[in-house]
Amino acid sequence: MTDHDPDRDDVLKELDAALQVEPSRAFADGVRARVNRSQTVNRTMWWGLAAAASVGLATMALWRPAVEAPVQVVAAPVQATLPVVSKAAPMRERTVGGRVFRPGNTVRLARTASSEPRLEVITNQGAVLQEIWADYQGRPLAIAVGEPVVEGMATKPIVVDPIVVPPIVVSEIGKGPGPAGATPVIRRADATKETR
Amino acid sequence: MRELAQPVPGFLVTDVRDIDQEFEERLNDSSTLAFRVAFSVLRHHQDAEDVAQEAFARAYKGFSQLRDREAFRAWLVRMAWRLALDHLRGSRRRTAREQVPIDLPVVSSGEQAAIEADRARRLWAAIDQLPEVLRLTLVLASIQEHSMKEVAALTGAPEGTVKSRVFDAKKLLKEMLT
Repeated sequence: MTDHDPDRDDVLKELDAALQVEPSRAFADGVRARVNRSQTVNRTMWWGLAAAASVGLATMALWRPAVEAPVQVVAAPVQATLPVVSKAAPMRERTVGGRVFRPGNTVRLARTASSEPRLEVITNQGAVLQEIWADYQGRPLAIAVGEPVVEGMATKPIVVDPIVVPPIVVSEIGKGPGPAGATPVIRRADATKETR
Repeated sequence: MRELAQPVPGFLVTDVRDIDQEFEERLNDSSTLAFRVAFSVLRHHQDAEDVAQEAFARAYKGFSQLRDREAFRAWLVRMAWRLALDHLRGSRRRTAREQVPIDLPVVSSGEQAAIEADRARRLWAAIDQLPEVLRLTLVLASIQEHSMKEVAALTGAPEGTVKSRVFDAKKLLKEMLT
């Protein structure tokens, strides 16, 4: 209150005297200790935040493919090829390997428990192609339980009947019956026997 | 790097060593002010030191915006005052507050010391009853022989307002002490 010394009355002097207190010598050291402690806490906190962020990012990176792949290609168990029967046979459902097959319903999106679409591929391509071909021709394909033309993945073996070829007998010229000096005659063995 | 670290108006180019050096200067320069402001509220030596140290520690966090000396002292006074009030409200040691200033300048006989102690106790009791704005202004005007201009700079109030507050505070104190 240097510029108001004349006005500095007893109250201010008395208050000034009452506040003639000084901090201890360790005051500055205490401030430095607090600053250092604060910096350490801040550094620890930032390291902790960085570690938590890293863990979070790693978790997200590991989770991401499973979360962002709602469509899965799942190979269905190998199914027997549905038999093709006559056109007059009625179209009925058929259960193969615990699965129900309906005409025109071979490839479908299956719903999982979490209501996420899941592409299911059925491997009986033969039946699928038959259905496609039937649709292309404008008439439905009759797939029903009946006499299987093709049963299972393995087709029936092709049975070839043996071909019996009679032996060819060549007789000498001129020794056989017929006009002398004539051209040789080639006859079948059985025919030769008959002639003999 | 060292040249760039010099204070450039308008640029926040700082160096940790420069900041620490400036902070040390402010610490040596303003520690008594912060301590006395806290002591005027708490009247407890250790509590006042804790509060003043906490004010300095907080000032260090924002020291890049407080490198101006006057701005730093004003911010420090307000922070020490607020922390002291908060400490006083929450402290359980208020009953053990020092009712008599530690360093009374007058050392006299036992009877006179008792009279002065009683006078000081009444003075502090009266100051405690002042409105907060008047109390802070009066404390700042009394310690370290601050001028009205300096008190205005510390409180952020116009100089005329400071004069008016000091006048009102002294008037109330005289009424309470007589």
